[in-house]
Amino acid sequence: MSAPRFPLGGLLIILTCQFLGLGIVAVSGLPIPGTVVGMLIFFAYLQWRKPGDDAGSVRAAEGLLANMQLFFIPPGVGILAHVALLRAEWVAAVGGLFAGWAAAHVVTAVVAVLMLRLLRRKPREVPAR
Amino acid sequence: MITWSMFTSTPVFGVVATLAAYQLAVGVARRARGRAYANPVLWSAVLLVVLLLATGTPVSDYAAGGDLIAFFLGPATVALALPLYRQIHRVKEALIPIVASSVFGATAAVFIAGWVTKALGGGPELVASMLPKSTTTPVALAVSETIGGIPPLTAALVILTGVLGAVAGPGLLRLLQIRSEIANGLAMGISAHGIGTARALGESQTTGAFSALAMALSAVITPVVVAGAAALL
Repeated sequence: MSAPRFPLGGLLIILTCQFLGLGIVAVSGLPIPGTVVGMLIFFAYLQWRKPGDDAGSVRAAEGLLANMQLFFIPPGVGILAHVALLRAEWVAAVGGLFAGWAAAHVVTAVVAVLMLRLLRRKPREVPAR
Repeated sequence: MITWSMFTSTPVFGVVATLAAYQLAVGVARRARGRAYANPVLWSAVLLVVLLLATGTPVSDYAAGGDLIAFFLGPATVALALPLYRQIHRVKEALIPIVASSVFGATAAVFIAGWVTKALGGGPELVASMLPKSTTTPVALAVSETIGGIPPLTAALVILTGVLGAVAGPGLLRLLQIRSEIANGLAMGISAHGIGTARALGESQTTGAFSALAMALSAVITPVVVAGAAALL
């Protein structure tokens, strides 16, 4: 058995989706990022081709996702150049940052749990006969 | 004379430093059995900043290599379609809860962040920079600019929010006894965008898929909500 090959073709498919997404946003002026449109295009591609787990596109996507945290490190380093901007109003910045995050997190989760429960209860109320 | 800058003037420096810091941070995270405070993004960035400060290396020297690595954020975001594709049957079942919780969560993110910042004495520029911080960087920057925020400040707030969510998100919901993988994923994607999603992918396929979906929804919902909040606050 040969060693698993680097999924260059799969990477090309993903980058092409990104390229198309960026192009569509540039032309149409849609207020969403091109990479998110690229994600929708890649989703359409996966739905259309239904590739198996050993397909290049799937392996390339898995490789990128497995290392996603790595790609966030350089922007994380970059923010330090702008921490000085926060210094003057740091109480307001930290307060707003934390409160906004906690509110979003809890509200999203609580609404999701309540509505999922509602959705699951409904069919059971109909007598199963 | 041999100077340190001879070594840092090539993009290879930034790439090698980032990969090495990441390997080290992942190793530590594994030792800590994946506990949230051992978040590899946070500690790699801290380690690199200490390295740059200690050696007097300009951030631009680091960025020449760092940008090569950050480039892959784009295709990685596109790749988030994969967990979504694998979980599509569950997404279809829960479409209404997904959309409703995303709309409520994204609205809470914008209004609470803006209101608290203002109440604590933040000026209009800080408030405007704060409003779009829960969504993914490209969207947040574009929105910040249109409402009179400072885009680099928004970028910093976006990253800090993401790290906060990745570190504290799962713990917060455990405290509230919310165990649903779907709810956890949605909350991560709405409150902590891509950095939260990167962490959610480590929890499970389901959590990651729903986080990716919520992150994409947030990119669509947040600009609308911010427009409303900027007019009201």
